[in-house]
Amino acid sequence: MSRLRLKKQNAQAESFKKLLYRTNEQPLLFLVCAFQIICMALLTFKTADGKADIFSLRMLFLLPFGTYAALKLVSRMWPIDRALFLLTAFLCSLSVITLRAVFTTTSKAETQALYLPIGFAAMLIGICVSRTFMSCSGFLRAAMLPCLALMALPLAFTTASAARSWVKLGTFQFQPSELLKPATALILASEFSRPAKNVKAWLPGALFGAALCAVLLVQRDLGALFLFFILTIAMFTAGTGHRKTALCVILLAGILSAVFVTYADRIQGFSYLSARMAIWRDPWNTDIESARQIRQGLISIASGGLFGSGLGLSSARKVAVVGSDYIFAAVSEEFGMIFALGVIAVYFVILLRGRMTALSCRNRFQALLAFGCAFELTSQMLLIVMGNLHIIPLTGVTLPFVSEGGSSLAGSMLLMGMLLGVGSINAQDEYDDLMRVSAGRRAKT
Amino acid sequence: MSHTYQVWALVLRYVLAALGLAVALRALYMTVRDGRSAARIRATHNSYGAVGVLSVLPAGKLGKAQKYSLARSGSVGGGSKCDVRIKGMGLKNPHFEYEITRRTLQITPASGGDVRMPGDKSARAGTFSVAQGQHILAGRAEMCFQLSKPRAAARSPLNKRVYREK
Repeated sequence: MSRLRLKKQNAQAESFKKLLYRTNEQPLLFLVCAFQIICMALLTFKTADGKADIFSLRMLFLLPFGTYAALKLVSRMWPIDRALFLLTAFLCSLSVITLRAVFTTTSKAETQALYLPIGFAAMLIGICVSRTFMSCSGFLRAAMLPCLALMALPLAFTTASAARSWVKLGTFQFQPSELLKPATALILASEFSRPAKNVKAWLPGALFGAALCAVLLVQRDLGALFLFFILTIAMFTAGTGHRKTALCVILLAGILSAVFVTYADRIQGFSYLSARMAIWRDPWNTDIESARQIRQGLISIASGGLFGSGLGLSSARKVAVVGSDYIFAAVSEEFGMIFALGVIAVYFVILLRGRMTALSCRNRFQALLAFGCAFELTSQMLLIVMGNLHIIPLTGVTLPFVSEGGSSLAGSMLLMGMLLGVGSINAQDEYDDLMRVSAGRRAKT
Repeated sequence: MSHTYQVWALVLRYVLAALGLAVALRALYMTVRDGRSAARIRATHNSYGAVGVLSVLPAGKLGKAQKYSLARSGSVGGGSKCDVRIKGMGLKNPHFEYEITRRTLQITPASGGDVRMPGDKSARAGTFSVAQGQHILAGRAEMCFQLSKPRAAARSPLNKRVYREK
């Protein structure tokens, strides 16, 4: 009898060991590096005088080497999900490549390349943060007020744009809402994963989400407001299971939004909304700048066709704010719709891997954190891509990892870092389980 | 830009589109495969992630106890929302939340869920601790929790590769 039991335990340990094997990431690494090398090799010779472009030549070596070195470094420190890391590297390099292809004479690509090491550092910080906070914490509850204060900081600064969402300190400027996305995911994961008798126990988390949305409404940053709202609702539903409550809140928010947009003319500070909605409905028959931006964006996407106009041969620079708001249009025109669909698919793969990470977590806090990070990145992508495709009005949020800008990159990398950190804890726990199962087998012999 | 560059750009656009698609497809393939492995681990290895065992008996009756693996935290009850689902014992959905901290079980009764220790006149309110081997009464069930045996190996060192490639 004991021999049969031993045989069963041996088989269990072996099958468990096999299940721990992950699919080889080397082909994906090869594909990402090949993409980086081909693009940068081509852009090296995209000059008017026939001389090699020094920046592109540097990136020809730095991008693939940096991807490989960063992957090896982080993998040695923690057992991270290497597929996720490589997909992030692919999107970050796409940003530098697209900016260089579109803007040959300006230094946008150089600036974005300088932000990459900062983004990598933010990712490392995100990994450390999620490995530090393993469960609900009073510290995170105490961080609510400072986060709200940071979100309200732009109200003290005046900017030229309709949305007051930037903080300018001399030459340096940043967007607090981008940096607060990971903090919000962390705080909401802590609040909505607490064991609770009834819905009232989750009230602090819900009120925090509502307060953030209220501050963003005052700032007139409607895109970020929408993102924070659906993040709060999604994490509340996933953490507590109260679907009916969430549906009621969504319905109420939908009704309030419809009323708000209808009577926006009469609300101080929001009179521009009606004009924007009218332009969005028919951008072809008006000559206002924002209508021109929409028209040019659509023409840019259509010009790319299936395979693109060719790297560096597009006219995407004619689209206003193409580096951040219309980067998807630039990618579509440069690389084509097939490639653009591949980029969208990459974000959905990030969501699927985030879901896989969340399902494998050992406690609710980590599961909710992983879900929140993956959901935030994907919902932001959907918002900006649908805005570029004229399905919904453009909201001014950025395409994670791809749009130019340090705040956007840092915020997205922090989110990805937290997701990788949770995955690394799962991997260590699985390894410990294998050791426990194997130890049980050795004890019997 | 030169004519040669334009020709190369037009030719390589097909290669770049294929590369972009290949990256997405390879990532999807890896995700599906890894997801299936993870699902099999969860489904077939009932000791996966378990740090303890909850033994459940109908209260006041003799018989073989039903054993349920416990992760570090979760919910116990009779419905589908619960991490540990115990049917036919009059438990709510969920009945109580638990968290294993050090060597004790912290129990928080859910709304409407009565949890008491043997000898209690009324149901417990608020979070309370239960030591290993102590019994608790919930619904029509009597439960007892035990921690799993201590792990034979220390946690993997930081630079150890826990992944192998297929």
